[in-house]
Amino acid sequence: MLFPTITFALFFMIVLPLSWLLMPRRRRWKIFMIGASYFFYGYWNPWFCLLIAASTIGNQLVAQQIHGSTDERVKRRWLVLGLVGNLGVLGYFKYYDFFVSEATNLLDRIGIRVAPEIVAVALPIGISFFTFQAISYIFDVYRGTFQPGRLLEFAVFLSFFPHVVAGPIVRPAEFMPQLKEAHDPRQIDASRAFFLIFIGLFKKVVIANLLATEIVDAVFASPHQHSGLTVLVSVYAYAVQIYADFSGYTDMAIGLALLLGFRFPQNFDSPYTAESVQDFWRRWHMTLSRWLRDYLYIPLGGNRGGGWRTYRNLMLTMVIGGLWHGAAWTFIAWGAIHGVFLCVDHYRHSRRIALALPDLPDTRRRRVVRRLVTFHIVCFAWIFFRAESFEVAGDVIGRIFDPTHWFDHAPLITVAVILAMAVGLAEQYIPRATMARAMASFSGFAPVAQGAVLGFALLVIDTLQPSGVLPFIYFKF
Amino acid sequence: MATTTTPEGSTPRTRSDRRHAEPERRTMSVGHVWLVGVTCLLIGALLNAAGIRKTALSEPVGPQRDVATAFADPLYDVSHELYLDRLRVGLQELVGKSGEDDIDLSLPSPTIEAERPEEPNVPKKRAFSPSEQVRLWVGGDSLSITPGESVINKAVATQVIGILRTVDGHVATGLARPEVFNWPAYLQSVVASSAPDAMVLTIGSNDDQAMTGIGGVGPFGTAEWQAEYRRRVGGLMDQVTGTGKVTLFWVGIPQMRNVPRYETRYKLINEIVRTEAELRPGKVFFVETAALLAGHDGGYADFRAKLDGTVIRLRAGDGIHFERAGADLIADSVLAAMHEAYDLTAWQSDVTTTTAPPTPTTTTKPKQPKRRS
Repeated sequence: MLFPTITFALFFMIVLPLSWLLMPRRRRWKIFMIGASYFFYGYWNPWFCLLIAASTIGNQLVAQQIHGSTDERVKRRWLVLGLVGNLGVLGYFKYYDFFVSEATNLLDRIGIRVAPEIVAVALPIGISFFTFQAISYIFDVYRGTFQPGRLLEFAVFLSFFPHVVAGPIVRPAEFMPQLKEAHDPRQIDASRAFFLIFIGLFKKVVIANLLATEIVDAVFASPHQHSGLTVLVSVYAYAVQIYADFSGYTDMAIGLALLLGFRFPQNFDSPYTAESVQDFWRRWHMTLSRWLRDYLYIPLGGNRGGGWRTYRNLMLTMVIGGLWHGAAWTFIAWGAIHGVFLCVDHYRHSRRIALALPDLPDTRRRRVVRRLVTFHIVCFAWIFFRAESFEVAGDVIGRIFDPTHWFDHAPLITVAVILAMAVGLAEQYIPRATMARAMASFSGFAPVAQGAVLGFALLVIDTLQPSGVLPFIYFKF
Repeated sequence: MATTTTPEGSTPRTRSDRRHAEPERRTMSVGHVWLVGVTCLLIGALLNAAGIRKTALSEPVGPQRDVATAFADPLYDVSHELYLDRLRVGLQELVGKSGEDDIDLSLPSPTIEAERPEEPNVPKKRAFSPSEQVRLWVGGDSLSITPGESVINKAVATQVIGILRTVDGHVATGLARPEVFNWPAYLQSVVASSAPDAMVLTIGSNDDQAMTGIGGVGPFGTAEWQAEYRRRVGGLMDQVTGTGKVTLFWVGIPQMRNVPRYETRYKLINEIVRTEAELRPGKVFFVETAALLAGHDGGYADFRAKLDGTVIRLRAGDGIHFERAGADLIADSVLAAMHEAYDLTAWQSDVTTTTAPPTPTTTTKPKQPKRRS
């Protein structure tokens, strides 16, 4: 089921009151919410519910074994078993085709001809997200920072429909204690929730879809067909598209959870206002960044052990983070580019400390330059993220730097495309205080007036959207 | 209802964020939240009634569509009576999307003689050159998009084919459901406005269902269904090629991972299109794709080893659409059909005896076949 559909709207309008009605009876509520979430998830393919159910039971078993044991070696064995199980499932569904075909081609290059029967494996939606949540659960139990909950609680945590397909990646310590809290049905932060849902809907349905259909897909399909200017604009457009697409989805997820009485962590914080690549990763897909930091970078050694080890750990973390997004070398390249620039940031920072240099004055001009440089580094990396192969990425870059075709006919650069990009970028610069005032004013309206305003918003969104609802980019991750 | 909440913190965006504390918001009871939701959906539905009616009609024929239209039709009537639908119409005009909610159910019939001539009038091969390029349009349903991109890439490399626009893909459309998208009417407008020489069309994979619109009949596959589908296919072919200027290249449906669906449904659709194309030699070319993308056993294949041993992925994860390597194979077949239909190489011999070819108006860089990682 997709969020921006009539089917989901009807589903949610039924689930919302029932959820609040059942909430005082915890056990019934949990069973109800698991049922609703499985219905939501299984709407694409009911068989995938078996996968999430198996993941729930398997990880709960591992967590209980870890928690119940006092022997460190036994705990470690169960943790390794849990990790192998989770990564094995993820690897099979997500990377099997990639690794087998790449291995076959590699063997072929060295003269060993093998002909494996490769069958494409259907990728269950959201598998990367719920697998990472399951890993954080068993890891936190192993570290002793979290005690395993009951099976029903863990099942709700893993399958809760607002986040099950595309995050945010919620920690057990953030969500599961909320299952025990008393939720007051008279104190819902509705105006914030409605703002998040409708701004998210606009970003996804209008901005992201429009940029995808009007310029990005066409240019990345055949970059040499378009002028250098068009290709450059399409790279910027893709930067806005992927932000609008993914942040739009998580805005909606956070808003929907809020209406159900649950708080999710923030996932985006104006990423294109970042002043360094390191800063970008504090603002972009924040729940993935901290997951990679806490469950990969730090276990690898983090910045302990000096310069080269830190750089190695940074590169490994970012390359694996790239691979998490998809089974292709282009994703690995995307992660590696970010890794290199993170290392550069780290090197510059550590040099300044070593030489006891004072911080540079934080002037407006310096901030603008830093933002522009960071934005262009991020856009450069997005080329590899979006291109279906290195050849296409090379075509895109080559076209941008080919002066002979720079000002060719550019029919894809339309007023709508420029406006969508401008709105997508400007949204990140709206002062938080302005948004807060708007939400506060909106919360003072009578319910029917609020409904009327949102009804008009639906008119604008539905009319402006390109025909057909495109799936979220992050579904396939 | 009267209680308030303070906002959740995150990094301040501006100096004013650092200076001012955020104002408090009034919280709401679940009953009021539900009331807001219902009001929003009701007003949104009335304002978007024309779009909802079209969406309802686009549902697969059956009980779900019946329920949807039973709700959408009176909703549209109320909206229209109260002039609420005018807002949407006005907004659509403002953003250049006029007529998007219109529903055109008429479909043309074939115009070639019922008695097929023994020796049909085959048009003479037209010659093209870089200075007088083939004006190419590529489009269709979702199956047209990736192969269409490959066609465009490869066509440009010939230097004699000029591209009118990017792939004109309309997802989940075909000839069975004109209320969803009326291909004959749309292609007529494309021919009138863009004057293409060649049109590469991929439709049919959404047509294995009961047909609606004028002449609509169901269920799929009956003799009546086949006769009506043949009429629609032939009618579209004649409408597009009727002026004598346009050549139509109709790309067939490939094998699918769902083998029974292909065997019992798509084979029939392919057969109807192929036989109708054969009745219009030189005007319509059927590009066969089933054998083209088959595995070594002749059946469906996700992957295939090339002659050099390299494994390429032909099909997308859904077992329906294409990866780039599969799309490139289809594009090669389309280009071969275009070489059959037109003389695209004579200019080269002219050039060798006179001067170098003029620079094409589109891009010149020849593309090598791509392989997705």
